[in-house]
Amino acid sequence: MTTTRSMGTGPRVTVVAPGVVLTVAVLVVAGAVGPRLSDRVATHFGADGAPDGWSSPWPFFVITALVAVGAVVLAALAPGFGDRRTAAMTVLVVYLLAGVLVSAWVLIALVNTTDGPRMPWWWTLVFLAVAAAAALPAARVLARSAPPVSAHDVAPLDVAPDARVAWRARIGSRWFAALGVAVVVGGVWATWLTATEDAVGAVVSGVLLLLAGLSVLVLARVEVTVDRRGMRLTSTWTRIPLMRVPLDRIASAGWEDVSPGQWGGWGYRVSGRGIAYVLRSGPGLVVRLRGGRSRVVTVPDAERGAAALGALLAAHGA
Amino acid sequence: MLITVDPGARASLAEQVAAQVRHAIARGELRTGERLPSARDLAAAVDVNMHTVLRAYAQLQEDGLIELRRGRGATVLRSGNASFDRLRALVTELRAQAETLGVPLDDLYAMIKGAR
Repeated sequence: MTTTRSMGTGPRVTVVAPGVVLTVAVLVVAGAVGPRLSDRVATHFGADGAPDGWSSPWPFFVITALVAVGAVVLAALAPGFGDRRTAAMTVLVVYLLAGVLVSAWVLIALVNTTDGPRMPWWWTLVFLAVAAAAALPAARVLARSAPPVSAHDVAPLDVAPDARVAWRARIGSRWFAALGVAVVVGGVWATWLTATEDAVGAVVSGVLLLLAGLSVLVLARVEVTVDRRGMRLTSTWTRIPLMRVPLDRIASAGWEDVSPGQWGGWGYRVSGRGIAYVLRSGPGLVVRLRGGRSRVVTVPDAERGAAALGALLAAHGA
Repeated sequence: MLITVDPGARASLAEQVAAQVRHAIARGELRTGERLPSARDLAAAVDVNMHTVLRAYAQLQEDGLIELRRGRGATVLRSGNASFDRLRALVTELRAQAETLGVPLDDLYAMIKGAR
């Protein structure tokens, strides 16, 4: 399940072409305008568009060209990455950087060929637009081609055709609970200590710490339920619903060995692949949604939960 | 905890719910002090009347497995766990004794089945 799907020529072009265009643009402008540029050109402009900084254009050119070429190499390699969503994020960042650098250098080179170089502030918006136009389609194509979250398939629970199935499991972490209490206590204590010095600052930081601590407490003890209404994850102490997926939106269910590293840490993790509640390394219930995203909950009895959900899906579809 | 209810089965719906909670306690899935889902919630989950679940919970309370309290719902009692602990201890002792005497497991099953 972890093998990456190969990409067609069209998507590959969408990923690589923006980098090639940026690289060609900066090289062509450097070749055409470069000989006419002096050693000291206006490279920094004030809010009114008048230049207020001068230097050689060439160190900036070398950096820009290297980033642009690096972006092309990265984009060419990206479809081979194990995790396409990580690849999409990397390409997005590098293309944004390359887009801003290339458009900025090209414009600086062009305005310096005129007698009175000026650059109004709104050109920064143009740089950002160029960067976004280069980065967003490429990143989207890569993210779209990502394989779904892997999971071991489970045979649906063997039940009578009109039987009703419900499964529920509780998951909790003493570490989370202790951390939440510590942050709440720390917030109250810090507010009390600093209240005499700076009342507003103390209240703001106190409220922030309190909110952080309470959110950790909300996540410290949860229960996951699978029944005819779908899958739900609810905070045990506060009854706040954390995930709610009706059966209609579920494509299939399975289980997988989940580790915090796969989701970037512990807790409630939102990513391009979906949403995961990760409390520990170990088995997790994987609910694949229609449309490719997933919900994952680490829970010891995940395999039986997946089997129960499989039976519910089979009955629902019939 | 897995609850399956089959309207076509011979046992009543309440008996089925009670039996599965009993199994969950026996397997150690529900521990002492753990709270059972509210009757309303469980009834909605398996699409039965709330009074059916309440009847099941009342039966379990009678058996000394859970405790029903107003406002706190149903909690698993120590005594329920303890009796299953005793059963597990007896099984362990039985297997050890059978091993000492060289009685194969299959024969032991036959003896257990024929004991009544």
